[in-house]
Amino acid sequence: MTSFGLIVRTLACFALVFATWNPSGYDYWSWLHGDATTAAKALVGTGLLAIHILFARIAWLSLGPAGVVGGLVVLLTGILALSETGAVDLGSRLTRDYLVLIAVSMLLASGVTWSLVKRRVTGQSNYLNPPP
Amino acid sequence: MYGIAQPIGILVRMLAVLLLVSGTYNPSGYSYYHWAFHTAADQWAAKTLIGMLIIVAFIVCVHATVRSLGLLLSIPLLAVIGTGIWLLSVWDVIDLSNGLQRTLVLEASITLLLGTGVSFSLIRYRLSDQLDSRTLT
Repeated sequence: MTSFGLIVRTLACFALVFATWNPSGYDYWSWLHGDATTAAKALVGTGLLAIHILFARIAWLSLGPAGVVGGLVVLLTGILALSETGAVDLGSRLTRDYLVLIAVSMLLASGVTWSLVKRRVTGQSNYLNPPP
Repeated sequence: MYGIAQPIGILVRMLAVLLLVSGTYNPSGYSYYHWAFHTAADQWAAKTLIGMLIIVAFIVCVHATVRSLGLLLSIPLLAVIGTGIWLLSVWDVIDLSNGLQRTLVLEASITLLLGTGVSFSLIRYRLSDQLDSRTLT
């Protein structure tokens, strides 16, 4: 587990979340309302859904309920702290949308990388038994 | 330490599953099915032996798939394969009214599903460090 691997996994989670929906209008959800072939929309949709299920399952198994709640609390206080210092404006809809997307991506990324980081830091591996 | 879930390793597994699936049946007429059921009724011991080996190989692949993908991921994977076939037929790459192409598409789908299943515990381990393990005692 290298820093590069950590960055790649984090970027993959950001790409997944932002490709599904983002406020810019260049995302799967907006493309769905365009005039592309239905089969292409279905293929990309099921592909995204499958990767979402895979990543969410990995994140849920490695973080657990306590980890998810803890991560959300940290992200929420982080957003509030940023708002307090004036770095972000929570009154703006666009800012709120992006913050939610970033928070979801960060949570997903921490879940996907948590087992790797934990083993590197503490030497404690995560085993799936019985298999999921 | 060798690399886990390298693309070449996944490709080799995929090709091995392709060999198994297409060796069992393929439309060219040279397959276990044709040898066992459409040639002279002799060599019954060899035919039974190869048949048992094929059955065992399929059980291994299916078991690995059930363990690594489970219903939670095999159904989405089948949906991806299904919509991929749909898109290819919309693009006229494949013609689903042609029986030969239908058979080949079906074999390719089974290969993709079982090949992914065989590789997926490794992929998952490399991606997330969650090791699929089984207690033997």
